[in-house]
Amino acid sequence: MSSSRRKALLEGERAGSRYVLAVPRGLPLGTVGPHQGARTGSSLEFREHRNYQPGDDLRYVDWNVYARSDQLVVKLYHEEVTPHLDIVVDGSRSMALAGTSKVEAAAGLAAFFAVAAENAGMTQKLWWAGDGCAQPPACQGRAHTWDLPAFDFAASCAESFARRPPLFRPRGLRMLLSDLLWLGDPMQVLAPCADRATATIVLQVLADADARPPERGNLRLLDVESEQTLELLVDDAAARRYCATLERHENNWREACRRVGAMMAVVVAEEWLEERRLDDLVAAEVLQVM
Amino acid sequence: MLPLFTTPWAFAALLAIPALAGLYWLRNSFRLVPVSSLLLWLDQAEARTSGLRVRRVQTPLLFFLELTILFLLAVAATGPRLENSQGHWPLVVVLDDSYSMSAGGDESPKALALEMLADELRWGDEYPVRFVLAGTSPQVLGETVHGWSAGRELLRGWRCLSPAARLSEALAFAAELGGDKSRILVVTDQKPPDDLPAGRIVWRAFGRHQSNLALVRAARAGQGGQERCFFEIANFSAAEQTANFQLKAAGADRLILSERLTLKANEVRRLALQIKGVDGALGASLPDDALTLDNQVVLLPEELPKAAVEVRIKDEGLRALVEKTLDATGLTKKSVGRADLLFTDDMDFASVEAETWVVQLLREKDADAFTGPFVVDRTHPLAEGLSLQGVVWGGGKTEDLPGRPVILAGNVPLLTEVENAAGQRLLRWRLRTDLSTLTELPAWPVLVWNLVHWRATELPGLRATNLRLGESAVLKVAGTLRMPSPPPDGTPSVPSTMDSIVVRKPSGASQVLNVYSRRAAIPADDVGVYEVRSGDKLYSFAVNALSAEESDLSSCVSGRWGEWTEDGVPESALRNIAWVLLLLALGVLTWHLALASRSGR
Repeated sequence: MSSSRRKALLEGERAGSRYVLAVPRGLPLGTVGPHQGARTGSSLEFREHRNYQPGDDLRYVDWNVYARSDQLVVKLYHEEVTPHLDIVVDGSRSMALAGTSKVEAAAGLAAFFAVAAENAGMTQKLWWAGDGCAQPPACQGRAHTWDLPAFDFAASCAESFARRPPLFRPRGLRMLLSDLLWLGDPMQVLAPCADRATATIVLQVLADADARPPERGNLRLLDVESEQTLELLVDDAAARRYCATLERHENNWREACRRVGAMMAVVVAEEWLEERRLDDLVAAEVLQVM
Repeated sequence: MLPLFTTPWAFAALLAIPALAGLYWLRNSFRLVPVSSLLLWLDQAEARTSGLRVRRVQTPLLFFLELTILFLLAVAATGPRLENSQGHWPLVVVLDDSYSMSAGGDESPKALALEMLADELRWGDEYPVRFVLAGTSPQVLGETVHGWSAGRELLRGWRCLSPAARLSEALAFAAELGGDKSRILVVTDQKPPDDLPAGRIVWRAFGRHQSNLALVRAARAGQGGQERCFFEIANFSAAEQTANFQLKAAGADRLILSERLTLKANEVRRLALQIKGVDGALGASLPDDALTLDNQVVLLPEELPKAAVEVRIKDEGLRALVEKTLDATGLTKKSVGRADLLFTDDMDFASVEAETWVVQLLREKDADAFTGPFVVDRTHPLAEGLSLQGVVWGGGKTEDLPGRPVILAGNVPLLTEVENAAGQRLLRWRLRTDLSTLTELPAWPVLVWNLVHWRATELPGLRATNLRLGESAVLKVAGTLRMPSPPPDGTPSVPSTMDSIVVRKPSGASQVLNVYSRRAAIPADDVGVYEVRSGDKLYSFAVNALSAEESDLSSCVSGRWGEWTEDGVPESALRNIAWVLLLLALGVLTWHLALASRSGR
């Protein structure tokens, strides 16, 4: 792995060490752990009563209520879980766009959230969306020790999910780090991410070259993933349309995220690498400053 | 035929073609920009105002269509025009018909000009050609022809026998003949005038400076075996020349004079000779040189017919005076039978023949002696050389004398003239010799001489027998109708009236000419002796090339002046074809748009 990427991991880890990944309030977190889950579970924290339904554990029948009202009522307790964060990193070629800092930003953000989750007492797992989603074997332990695979998948993240979706831990926290720049239904990726998730965070990592149209003139645009080309005369109007298309694409993703209860934020790689701050997530209380 | 261009500088618009090629080159030059995804650019190709997707595969066809459009527009901007009249201008060729064009033998200007015309017209089947002979007056040579084959036949009539070439008149005539659409080609041996109009006239000269010894004047006078000949020989050369001058009696082939002449540069030598015993033609000659036509002269005897005069005057004194004066003229003969001229003081002269002119001397009692002022019709033949200054003219004083007045004293006619339908003339002459000094003064013989000479010139016959080339011989014929006898030499028979004559030219060709008012004019358009048959009478006259201007070859030049350019062509002769090019450009543009829009889908 290149030194720049290693440095990005280290810098991301260092930046994330100042933050705690907050578990969204009111959300169940799953199995026994230090956090109170949003669902009923086996903890000692009483939650509510409800009428007995067939299949309920008879151990939770409140016999006192039955004695007084002759009705079977079960007591529900909060679930007590240990939270978990699944980080999915888009391993497609577009994330390694030449002349940009998307690779460093993606690596740094992955390290950032890994550390922030650790600060929150969460476990975390890194998923690499390449030729199918898989957990890189060299990405265990501390983030700065990770050996990230190459961003060389010649297809979109959706294609990677389609080939082999990640095995998310149920009721865990999911985070998707991708530029989201592919043509297709966002639900192809969002649906697996949000399935049985406690919360889903989509972080769009764009390069400055993605966020702003290129210089004017005759351009032969090369899609680094598909290697298709498009020859265009780019002028001011074309640049405006590019920005409008990007905004429409982002709104499309935001709308999809809203439908699955996910949260979406946009990060411009070069800007993030300068200050390494995620104010939008802090404002949304996804991150808390330690 | 190439079109003409109103604004050829507009061809500069063709610079748009390399500019377009440059644009295409720039347009097809791309900067490679890797992007994360083409997702965000896919809708750019649908835009029309900008961000056009470049499709290089279209370039060849669209590029060449655009090149075609630019070319058509640029050419249209130059105002291309083609000739009207089936696309070609008529050509009017003005041919110098003067005899200097034949100087030089096989290398004469005429021969060279014919070669040029053959080249000019060999491929000219598509435009009409007319020929105009520029002689002393312009003359159309034949009808319109197309191409050299027809033109060659027509040009056989280009004989170069005119004593002068009035090219300016011929040019004006050619312009009128050809109309606005015509080109004019002048073929001559002279240089053009300084004010030659540009653009429409091409002036071709084939002459060259040559030395020439020429007979430029010749005359023969006198009758009855005592004659005088006069010759002028000119050396049109910058060097001295020696030549042998010979004079022969042409009919008898008898040498009268042979003299070796040495003429200095540009010298004109005059020879005056007394000739005796030569009734027929005289032939003078010089050795052949550059121009042979002016080396030969034929002179026929000048014979003015004498008028038969009859005097019927009762007053003896006046009769004697008249007879004496008539004898002094030398132009009269005694009347035997029919008189040509009758002097009488008789009031009744109805019995005279129709061909007899009558001079009626009026001796009125109521007369006066007029001292003037006298009014004389100077255009009348009787007034030639007449001076009445100091004359006392006695005659009747009434104002009502019939006839056209010739001489008046104030408003009193003294001499009048009347011509009847048969051509007979009656002159009324008021004269009271007892009141006049007219018969004692020079005006008297002048009047009588004019009268007799006028009558003699109106007698049947030729007025002159030695003419210059280009002049006209005037023949008076008798007015009497009669059947002629058949000509003995087999020439075409004269029509049964005296209103036609037969002319036999020096070349041997015969021609029948009509006579109007008993007068026929025979154009002297060939060198040699003409024979004219009028009824039973045969007349002859000689024609000589005696023109110093034509014999002088020192001013002959060669060269070409002027061009047929669009500036010289009137607008009406050209058809602007810019609209055709614009329509073509519009069609190609429509095609281009159709291709572009189809490719855009």
